[in-house]
Amino acid sequence: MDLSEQEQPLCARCMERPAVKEYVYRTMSEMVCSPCFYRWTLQDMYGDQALEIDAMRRRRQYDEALAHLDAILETNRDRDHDGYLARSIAYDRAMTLLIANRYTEALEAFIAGEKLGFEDVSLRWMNAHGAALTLEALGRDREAVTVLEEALGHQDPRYLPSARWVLMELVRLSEKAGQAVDPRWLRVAEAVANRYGVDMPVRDSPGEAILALAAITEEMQPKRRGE
Amino acid sequence: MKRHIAEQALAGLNDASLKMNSTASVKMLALCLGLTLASGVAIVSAGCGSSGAGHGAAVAGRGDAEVPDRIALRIRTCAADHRVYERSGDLAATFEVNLSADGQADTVALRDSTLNDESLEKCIASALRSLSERDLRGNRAGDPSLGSMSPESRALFGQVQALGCLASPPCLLALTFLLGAAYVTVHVVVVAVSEMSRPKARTAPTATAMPTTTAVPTVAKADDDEYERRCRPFFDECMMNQNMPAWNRKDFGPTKNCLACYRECKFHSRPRGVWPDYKCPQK
Repeated sequence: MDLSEQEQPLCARCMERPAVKEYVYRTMSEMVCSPCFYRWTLQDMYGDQALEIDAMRRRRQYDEALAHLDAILETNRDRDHDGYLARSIAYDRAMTLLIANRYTEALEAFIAGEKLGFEDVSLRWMNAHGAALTLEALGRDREAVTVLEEALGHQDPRYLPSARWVLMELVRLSEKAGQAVDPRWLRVAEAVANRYGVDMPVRDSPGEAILALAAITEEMQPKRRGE
Repeated sequence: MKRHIAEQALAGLNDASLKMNSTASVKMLALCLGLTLASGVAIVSAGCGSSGAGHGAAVAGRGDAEVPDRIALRIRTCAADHRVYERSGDLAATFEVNLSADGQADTVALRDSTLNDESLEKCIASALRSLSERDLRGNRAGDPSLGSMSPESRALFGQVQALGCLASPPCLLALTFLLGAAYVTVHVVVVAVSEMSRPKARTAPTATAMPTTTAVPTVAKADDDEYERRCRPFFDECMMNQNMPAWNRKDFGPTKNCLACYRECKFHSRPRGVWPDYKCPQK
């Protein structure tokens, strides 16, 4: 590496490669590397378009929203090098179908989204939660529990604060399905409690303990990892 | 016709204003820039209410018109420099841009304005002088359905395309385009919202009653406006500062996934409407 490369500032986004391009978004401007420039152009474009999808759903223009999602993906497919756009659109497509009460299609869409993989475990949980809500709407509560349990089986300590709402939904759906919450999820709940810096409540059943934990932590911020 | 179009645009702004003002202490700023291009192709506005990014990634669907990045940026810079986000009430300005035979902006004339800021008007006009017909038509090159049509035969088929922020977050602006026949008019409608009310606590909004932990969420309510109102300001704020604070980079990398945080806040968090600050922190 020559001196000029050493002195070149690093990309403001990845902090790894040399910054070579100015990236402008809304009122923000920063120097980024070439891969980040293209990735973030795409990602920020979709971030704004997702709001347009929200607006269409509010207006109950579900077919238009689905068509718009398809068109965005088709138009930008060759720019979607790491599959970010395909995964994001798969999720939004499934949620749109769920909100439109088109449950059978929504379930297929959530399954299709799972096949694309997830960038992190919280996105897996969100997809599974959407699928569980869909199954619940179809009257298949036990399957909804199974889907959430399968997702919760994927763990990453970084995302424990999000596991809190997954556990809450698991309790709710389990009760609705008339089955007890599996005690194995208490270990996850205990890890969540630790992240919030509280003791795990002791109750007569795992479900009650999880709901008690949720109540205790509702107004709390989780600790930073390592604190 | 032009007047009618401008009224439509302003009506759109008023609708947006009413909607946004349903939230207390919202300040709304609106700039309507109507550009009449005397070259045979028309772009007319449909008013506010939609969004898109004025960046390089193409957005298909209802048209591909796009505000050129360099012009959108200059207009946003004008507005930011003149601190329009601090003003209250609706503001509007209408410009006419005449294109010369070579497709370049020949003159830019201010036709109507409530900006009450001559310097700002000049700044925006200066930005518009760099507009060319090529900018406006080039974005449609990829649409085969239009390629063989003469400008005069093109029916109105609008698309709102570019969205960006005029001012400091939280804010919202939309640049709205429609294509028309027989003449060229561009209305760029910019809406900026500042000082949006938001929950005092990022993780414990208490403005209205929330579902309890044992309440059964109704799927039909999954897209409820209430949760969007709670989560949207955080999303806007996140999008304007996507760099992850240093303390959180080890776990979550150098940037935030604001859209994922927004989705989690809006649809999945329990109670709903709670921003996942731990992975999309403000500071």
